[in-house]
Amino acid sequence: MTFAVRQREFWAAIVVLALSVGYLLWAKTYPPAANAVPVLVAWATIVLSIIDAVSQFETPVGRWVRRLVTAERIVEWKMQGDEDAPLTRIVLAVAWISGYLVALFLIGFIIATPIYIFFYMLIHGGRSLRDSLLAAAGTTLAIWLIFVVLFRYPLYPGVLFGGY
Amino acid sequence: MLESTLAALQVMFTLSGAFFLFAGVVVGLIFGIVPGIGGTTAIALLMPLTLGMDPRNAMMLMGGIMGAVSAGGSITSILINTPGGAPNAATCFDGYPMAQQGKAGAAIGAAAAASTLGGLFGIILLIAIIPVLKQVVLLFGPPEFFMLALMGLAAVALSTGGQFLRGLIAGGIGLMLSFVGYSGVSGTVRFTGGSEYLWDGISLIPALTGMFAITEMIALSIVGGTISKDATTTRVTGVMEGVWACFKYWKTLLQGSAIGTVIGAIPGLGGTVAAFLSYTAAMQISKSPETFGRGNIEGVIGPEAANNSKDGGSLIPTLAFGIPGSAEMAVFLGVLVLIGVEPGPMLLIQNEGVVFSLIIALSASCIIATVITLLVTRPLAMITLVDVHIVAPAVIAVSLVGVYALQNSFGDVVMAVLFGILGYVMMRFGFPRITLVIALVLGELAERSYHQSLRMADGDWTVFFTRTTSFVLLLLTVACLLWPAVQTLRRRAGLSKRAV
Repeated sequence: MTFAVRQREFWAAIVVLALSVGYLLWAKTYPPAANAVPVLVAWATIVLSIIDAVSQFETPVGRWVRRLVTAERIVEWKMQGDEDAPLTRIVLAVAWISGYLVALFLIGFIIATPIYIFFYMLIHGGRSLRDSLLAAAGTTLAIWLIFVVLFRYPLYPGVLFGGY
Repeated sequence: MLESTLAALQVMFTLSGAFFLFAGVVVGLIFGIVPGIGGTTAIALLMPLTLGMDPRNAMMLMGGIMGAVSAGGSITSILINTPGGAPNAATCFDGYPMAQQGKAGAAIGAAAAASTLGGLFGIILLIAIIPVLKQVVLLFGPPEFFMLALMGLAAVALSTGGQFLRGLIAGGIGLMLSFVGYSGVSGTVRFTGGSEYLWDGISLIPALTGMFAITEMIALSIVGGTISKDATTTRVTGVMEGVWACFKYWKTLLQGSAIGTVIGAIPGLGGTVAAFLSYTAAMQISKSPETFGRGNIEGVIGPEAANNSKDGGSLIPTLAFGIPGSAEMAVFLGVLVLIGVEPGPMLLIQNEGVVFSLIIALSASCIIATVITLLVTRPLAMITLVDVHIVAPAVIAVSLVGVYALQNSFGDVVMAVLFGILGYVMMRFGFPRITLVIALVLGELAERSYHQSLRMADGDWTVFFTRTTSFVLLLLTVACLLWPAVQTLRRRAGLSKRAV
């Protein structure tokens, strides 16, 4: 593990620590019956986050703690290549989904979905105009058939078209 | 029990029951084949469709998915050395060398037959154990459930191996999130920040859909390209030879099935551990252990039997105690909530019909998935050649529509996207999502049991240590927490001895 990665891990631990402290202070504002378990959990998370932060230091103590709290095997499935993905690709992926969310809020599912799929495939995916059009139309049609026709679920129309 | 079994069989043979079962199998096979997504995403994606569905039909759909996922994952392990999911990775060791030697058909036949027989073994054991479980469940009181929730979390964190500490931290975050909203214990509204939407707490379904379906799609779209670069030209012949090999190596098959069922029943361990353990065990009883890794069919039979039999095992804690031992089971609990079935200790007693519908669907799914696998192996493997930029936006759109359809709430859609992004951030920084999700599910049970226990004992907190079952569960929790440290110390002691 390089020094840069350790720094990243350290700051991740600090962010969780800060959030847990904030949560603890918030929990303390509730009556005892309502805050007993949340306070307990917040304290436990604070202690664990401190241990996590300490374990990121390249010192004898840090290395010792790291050895005690980690094992050699990581089970969770990881996408190949995802580990080294550049920040721009990550920001772009999150921006696309956030953009879709904003579009859904404004113009609803039936209009936002084909627009999102079409432009995502064309611009982000580098697919042809024909493929993008087909996928956008096909997915929207499938959604309409399954949710509206078959299950009779009303889809969100968007705030511009009467949604709230 | 017989009545429930017959009723479930009747449902399976109705037009709707058969349709949902078949649909589940097809979806399970496809999601099993595509590396990186798997059964959890499939269940999360189809979860909204179960809203308002007859509970027994919903179980047909879910059973269909669960039984078929591992069969799908083995195809790509054998043909293109790319496991559909982590539990199928052990199949690559001997399955791919077999394919390289022109024995792909035999390997697929063996994997399919071992999956079916292993799956059925796990289910039979589950059926056998249900009457006992009903009695055991009645012995559990609030202190035991509190300890069980803690133990479940510790065990799941332990299973994340190198991420143990961050697994526990993610569990803490999950618990903190589970306390958002109205508290039934104190009658207080907590941590909502003034948002009315959060009064009911964080809805499980949007959170699960975000954490699995959307996170995986974000990850896929970042990686880009096609899922597999290798359109294999391997011929698939000699399938029946592989099927017969399962009977020839029946000891390996039985051993793998038993390992899978037992490991599956322990929260947090799951298919990956079961498959690798079974692979090692198969090597130990083999007459030719030196050929493992070079195309020994026993190296395919052992892990595949374990991989599918774990489903029956993992249903034991989920159905009996409402403790999901894996991400797949956590999402499945969400489905139960959605169809109006309360997961937890009373499920087995009050909803036997639903449980047996699932069991029958799971059994049928194992068989149907195998038949489909054997018939259309090559076209199924071609799914991995689909561009992820086609899959990702479509899955995201369908997930969000489904999440909205649950309660016609746009807040749920926002929540799903937020959890999707949170899931990706966690993935990047090595915080296992599974412990957060399981904590989110268990938080309410843990808090309620904690307060009930203290009320029961007039505020005396020793109630958690003075009851035998509760104390045993506490010891197991402590053992889980100390295990990584003990392992490290033992390893170091071993190294020092060798140095001397």
